Amino acid sequence: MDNPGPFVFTTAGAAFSLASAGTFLGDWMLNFAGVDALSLQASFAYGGGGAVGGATIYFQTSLDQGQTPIDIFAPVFAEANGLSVANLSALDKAAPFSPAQQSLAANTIVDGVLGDRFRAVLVVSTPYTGNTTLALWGCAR
Amino acid sequence: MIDESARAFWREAIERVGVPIVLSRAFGYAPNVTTFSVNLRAKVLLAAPDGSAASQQGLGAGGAGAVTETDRSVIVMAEELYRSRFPLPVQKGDLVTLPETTEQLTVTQVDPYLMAIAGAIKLTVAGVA
Repeated sequence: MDNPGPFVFTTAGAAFSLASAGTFLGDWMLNFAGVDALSLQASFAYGGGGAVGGATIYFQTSLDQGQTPIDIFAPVFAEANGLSVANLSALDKAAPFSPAQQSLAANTIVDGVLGDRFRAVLVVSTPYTGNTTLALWGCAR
Repeated sequence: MIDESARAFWREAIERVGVPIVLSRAFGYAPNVTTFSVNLRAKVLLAAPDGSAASQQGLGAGGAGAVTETDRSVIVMAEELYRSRFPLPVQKGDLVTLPETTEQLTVTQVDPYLMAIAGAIKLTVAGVA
């Protein structure tokens, strides 16, 4: 691919906030045509509030220019610091499957499907307080 | 609309007289802060007139105003920002480091329109006087 390397997932150019409950769609990170592999990292630093399963992140890709998001990794965090990492390859999927949209099972991945764009969707069930921070990174190769 | 000649001119100008910079954005709340940084090449100009100070002194926005010695203007190519996957748009509070002088500067203004025809973005940055 043309521009391998690290990047951060954002929403409207800024970090995701966990201060209110809801579903927050991230920005599509573009220009990944030709990506062979993608490593994803979700780093959760707990400050206060929240609940068990309070924050779910759905990393997504798309094969039709963003019209149909496909979940590829779904880390879940509760009330403690956490770090979740996954590595995905564009060359692995052998069998057809029905993609999930914001419904991938917690802490699972879908390997083998990497489109030309990626984004993160944050679902907060119970608001977090204090200096709770979520940092979402990717590294494309 | 970008003029290709203007873009080529500025790309070459930055290549010739530009200096390495590190553009960074901090995410999160202290102490849980993570920083995303990209290495770029940019044209860094020295002191920039302080237009707001000029206005405060009744000289009008077009007049020459006060100059803060640590103010800088930084001109970067938008395409380079995009290629490096820096989260756009550049925002107030983003950090610019000049490795050659070890200056740590904070973005105070972003003007994406002034040099839009050349595909460049002008940042006004300030250090600690």
